[in-house]
Amino acid sequence: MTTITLPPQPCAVPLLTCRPSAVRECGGDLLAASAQIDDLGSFVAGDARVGDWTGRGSARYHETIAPIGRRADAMSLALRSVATRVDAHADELQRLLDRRTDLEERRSHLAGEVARLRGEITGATEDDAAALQAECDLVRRDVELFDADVTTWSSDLASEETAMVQAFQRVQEAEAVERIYGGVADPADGALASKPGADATPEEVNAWWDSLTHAQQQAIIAAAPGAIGNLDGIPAGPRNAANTVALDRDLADWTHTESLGELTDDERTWLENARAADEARRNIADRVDPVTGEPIETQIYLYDPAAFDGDGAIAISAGNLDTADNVAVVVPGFGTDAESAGYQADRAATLYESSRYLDPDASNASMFWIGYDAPDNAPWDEGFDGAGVVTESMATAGGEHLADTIDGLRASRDGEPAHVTAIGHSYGSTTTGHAAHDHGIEVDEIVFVGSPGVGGDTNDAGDTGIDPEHVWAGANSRDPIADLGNHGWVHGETVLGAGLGDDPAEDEFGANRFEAESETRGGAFSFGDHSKYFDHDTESLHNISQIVNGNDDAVEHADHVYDPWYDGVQDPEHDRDPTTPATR
Amino acid sequence: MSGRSVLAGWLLVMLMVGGCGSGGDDVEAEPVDSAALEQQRDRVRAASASLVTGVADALGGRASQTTGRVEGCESASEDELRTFRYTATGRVDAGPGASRPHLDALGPVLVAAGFADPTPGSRPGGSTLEGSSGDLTATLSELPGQGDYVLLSVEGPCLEVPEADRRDWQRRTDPESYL
Repeated sequence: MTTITLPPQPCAVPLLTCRPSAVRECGGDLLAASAQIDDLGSFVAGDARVGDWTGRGSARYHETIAPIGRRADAMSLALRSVATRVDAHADELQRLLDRRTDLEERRSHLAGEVARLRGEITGATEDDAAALQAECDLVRRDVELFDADVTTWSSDLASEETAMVQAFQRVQEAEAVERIYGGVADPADGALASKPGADATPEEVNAWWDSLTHAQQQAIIAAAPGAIGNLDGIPAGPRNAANTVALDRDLADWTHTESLGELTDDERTWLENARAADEARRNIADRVDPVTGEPIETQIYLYDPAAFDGDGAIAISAGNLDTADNVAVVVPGFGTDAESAGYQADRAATLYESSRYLDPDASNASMFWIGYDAPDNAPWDEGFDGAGVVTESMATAGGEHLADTIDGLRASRDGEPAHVTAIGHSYGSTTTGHAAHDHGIEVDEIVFVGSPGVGGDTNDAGDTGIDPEHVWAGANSRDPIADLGNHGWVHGETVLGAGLGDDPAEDEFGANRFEAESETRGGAFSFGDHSKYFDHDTESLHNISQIVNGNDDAVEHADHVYDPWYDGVQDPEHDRDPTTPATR
Repeated sequence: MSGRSVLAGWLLVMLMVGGCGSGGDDVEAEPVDSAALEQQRDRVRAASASLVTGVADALGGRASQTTGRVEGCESASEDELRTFRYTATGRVDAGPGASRPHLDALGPVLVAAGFADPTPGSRPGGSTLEGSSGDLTATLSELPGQGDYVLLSVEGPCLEVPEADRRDWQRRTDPESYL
């Protein structure tokens, strides 16, 4: 009887237990700490110097603070270097985990092959021996290759861990930090010296950014996040990195000050806005892409907790604004300030989920944009901010900001231009109308939902500056706010010059009206129906998503509101039974 | 004709001050105690753990992204949600020996995890298999054009929570895996 030699069992793959996302968070914290210490260095080199103070006391003071500044700068550079290495470590750990998964699958397959051959050999005849031995030899070779790959993987893991340990050890002692980084010029300084002025176009800003080395870009993100975080023309990726550093730094700074009981009133407001931004990014990141099942990528596109007298400015995207095929910018309306970011993030996420669900082959980014001073309180409550809602002044100013944002998004992308949709909800539709009419925004689609009017100068869809075929209106028949726009020939504007402009859902406006009824709508006007346009499984979210994806043919059209001379305003949608199209 | 537009802005202000319909609209639901949503979370996570393990075994694959979260269902105002549900999701990448369509093999897995009457369906770019267990719904999805994996989600019904608890539920995070 011929002896058949079985292949050996494949070796076990060593365990690797780690969470790269936690390592990356640690890198982010280190970068935020680096920025905090850099702020101290900048303070010592700037505001801490007292030019009008001379004499021995002054000399002593300036002698004392100079080394502090130098040490702070060195420590900041050291921390930045470690943070960058930790970030790279997270990437490498993820690669190692992926490789380990592949190895486990290969091992499982090979172990199955060995078991199969063992079984076949047991019942084999002499005639089968040669063929079985040949098969065993092939599997043996695969097992040997596999074992070699496991050895390489283990070696790569050990090398990576050693490199990470060395990166920490290199700057463990203050003396080493001073020796390596003391007096070293921050690469950010030179790069910022060539930064274009405040009147630069987004294209000029983008050209400057592209001209920098990777090291200079990373240095600016860490040392001067405020210089680029909200600058139109900088791509969303670096803006997000800079704003993440700024947000983490602010949370650490102000939370510490709060724990000491030393927060000023302004700082307390800014801290609340920072916490809302933190909540918003987590709200999106906690959800999963309906096509891949993986966490949704977030990008902080705008972060300024002190903007608009403390109302704050925050814009965060679900999805990658730099690469997405379809980009949507959602402009919220009255009652919105930075503290609304958590809820607005939920809306951006539902729009992202729905758009992806309905077209899994396209990539998407949906951003909520609290980038203007929206009316958010009543005049007798916290001041006169809310009074802005009765006029178009805040929408006019906001429209300019929105147009700048869209210009920045366009200018900062490489490759194929995105299909961009601007979506204005409530007073945000008035703002969007002003952006389109006053500045000519470069978007493919404009969507007005729950609109109280799209601005006094926008008399029809053509006034938006884009093809009226791509101007859309969604109005729930029970939404009292959507009923406030001007109708017919005689209305508040023609009589008293009041109101916020025309109703975009009316026939004379010339936009496409889409179905936007809610299954849970009230029997008559109901304020709750003003806020349901972005809820899942609603006609509105379904249709907005199809528009965002450029699938105009899939949009369910609705008959327009009309205002006959012999009667009041008529809404044909009032008596139609709402549907619940799946959006998730 | 309409003279109502004259009042548009001031009505908006009044709306803000009035809480923007935060008490809900004409379709009323009795606010439940937040404990009901907490219990839903526990049941969804337990059912998801059982289901994802069964799917991974059936496909000889590996499970990932096994997390859950509280999601808002219905908005109440410009910055508030009225009803919530707990949703758990996961992904199982099929093993080398698994044959497509994967959903064909997963009906018994749904039943074994307590989700009766598996019903096939479709979604854009793929197919689904759905089952229910009491008030919980489980959905398995396969998108052949996207990769060799199955997505799963388990969720409970939308529940109204007391107004005072809404913000807390909105902010709630649940990053730990249910496995």
